[in-house]
Amino acid sequence: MNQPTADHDDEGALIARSRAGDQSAFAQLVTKHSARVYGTLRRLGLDPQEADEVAQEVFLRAWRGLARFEERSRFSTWLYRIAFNEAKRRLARRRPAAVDSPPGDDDAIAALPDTIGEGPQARTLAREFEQMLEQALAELPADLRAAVVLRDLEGLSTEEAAAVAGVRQAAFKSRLHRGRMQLRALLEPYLRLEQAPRPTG
Amino acid sequence: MSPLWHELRFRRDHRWTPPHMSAYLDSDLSARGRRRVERHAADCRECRGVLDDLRHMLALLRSAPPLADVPAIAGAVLGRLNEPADR
Repeated sequence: MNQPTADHDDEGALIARSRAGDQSAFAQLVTKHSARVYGTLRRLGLDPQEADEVAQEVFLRAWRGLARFEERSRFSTWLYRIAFNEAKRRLARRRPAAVDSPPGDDDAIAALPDTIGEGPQARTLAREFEQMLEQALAELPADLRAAVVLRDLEGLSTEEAAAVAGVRQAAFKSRLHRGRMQLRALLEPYLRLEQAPRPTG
Repeated sequence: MSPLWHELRFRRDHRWTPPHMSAYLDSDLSARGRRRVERHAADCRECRGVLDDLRHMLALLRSAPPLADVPAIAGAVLGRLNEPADR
């Protein structure tokens, strides 16, 4: 997402006011970033209730830690970093999560909703993909999953995403590649199905 | 170009290409590396399929809409700003 300069200045002003203790300025920052933080936490593997709790925790930490925020980095990247660390702690406590496979994971194709063709097709496809994606992401190791989420779903640059994950860029690229390859293998039936002509009627 | 030489090059490229697909799609390969991936993908149906899948998957991931049903986080946070930090 391209941030126009005016918006950036605006955010800078809100951060400055928040630092001075202005809670309503901070509330505006939370409003602006909460959907992305919440969405990232969900995609990193937290359930809706955990993601809600952790998102609140992220912003409370940000509020208390505003003095440590370096203005050279982007505010959103800083939030991602706090969110990533909180999610990691939460997920580590849950271990062994890998054994705890989601119910009905027999066959990705069998899990496809059988309502294809209902409603606007684009929306149906998007929802269908979202479901497949959620199941496939759940099967990736946490590190690889985080790399794909930060870089490909959240759209961070490699540099930003590596900083959020706390690893060097070379290590990040390796994780990203392995994550993408595993995700591709899991989504392959869907990707090939979508490319093939669909039966009509 | 002898068939044997061609076969050896194909096998080398077939090992080299998959680990470099991400870098290729991120425009993070040298011009020489790019040519190598493209040459092999043109020759190898399997690698071409994987590369097409990856490209298609990345386009879907990048255009995935943000999750709906985001809870009212701002209100909840605002109500907690004065809590003591040692929770």
